[in-house]
Amino acid sequence: MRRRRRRYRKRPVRAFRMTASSFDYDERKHQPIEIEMYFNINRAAQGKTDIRRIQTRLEEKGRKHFHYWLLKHLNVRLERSVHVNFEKEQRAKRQVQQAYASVRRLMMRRVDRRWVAENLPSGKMRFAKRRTKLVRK
Amino acid sequence: MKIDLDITVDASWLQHYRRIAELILGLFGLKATVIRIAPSRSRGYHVRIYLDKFIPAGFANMLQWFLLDDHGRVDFDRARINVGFDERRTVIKASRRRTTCW
Repeated sequence: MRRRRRRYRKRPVRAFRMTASSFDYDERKHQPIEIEMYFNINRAAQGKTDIRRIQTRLEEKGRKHFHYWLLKHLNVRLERSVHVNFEKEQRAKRQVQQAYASVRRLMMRRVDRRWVAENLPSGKMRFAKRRTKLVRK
Repeated sequence: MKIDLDITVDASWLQHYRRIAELILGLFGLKATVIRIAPSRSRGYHVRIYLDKFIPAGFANMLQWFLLDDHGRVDFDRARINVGFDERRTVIKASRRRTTCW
């Protein structure tokens, strides 16, 4: 008997871009600082529900990553809330899903009444587990 | 370019604003294809200017300053552009300065 294969519709891959930022005060230098992180990831999303689901997940993971990274690399324990915003998602150039989101980090300092930006090392954040191929032995 | 004007004024003033914007752009050899002014949700207006040419982010930031965009945001963006963050895209700044569009 022939088994009918389920046909999956190929979902379009969209580029999601998120910004997370927060403020802090550098007690040693007496300067207000602002930390920004820009997350980019390509994920497959069909409709509004899919988009919303990915955005919620990205927000959750992004917030955690924000706190964790600052504590680990700058030894900053944030007490203020982290603001998160999304840009309108666009069709990705390459229609390939990504498991990791690329993160660009920026720190702004207020020096002599002017904002001075400083690039922090960029990196990536795990978003989804990689699919493992099932191998029958 | 998107410009945020934080004050509500008479309609006649906005007509003058359009003309002055065109003059300022003309000084730099640019031409506005469309100038859209829409009232913002909280106060003032959002002005969207579509140009006939591609312009670099730093130059666009200076034009925004000339066209009375929020000065704090212009300063923020200047600092960002100086470290190479000059992607031509809508940068939604989540905290203080909400939206920047070059």
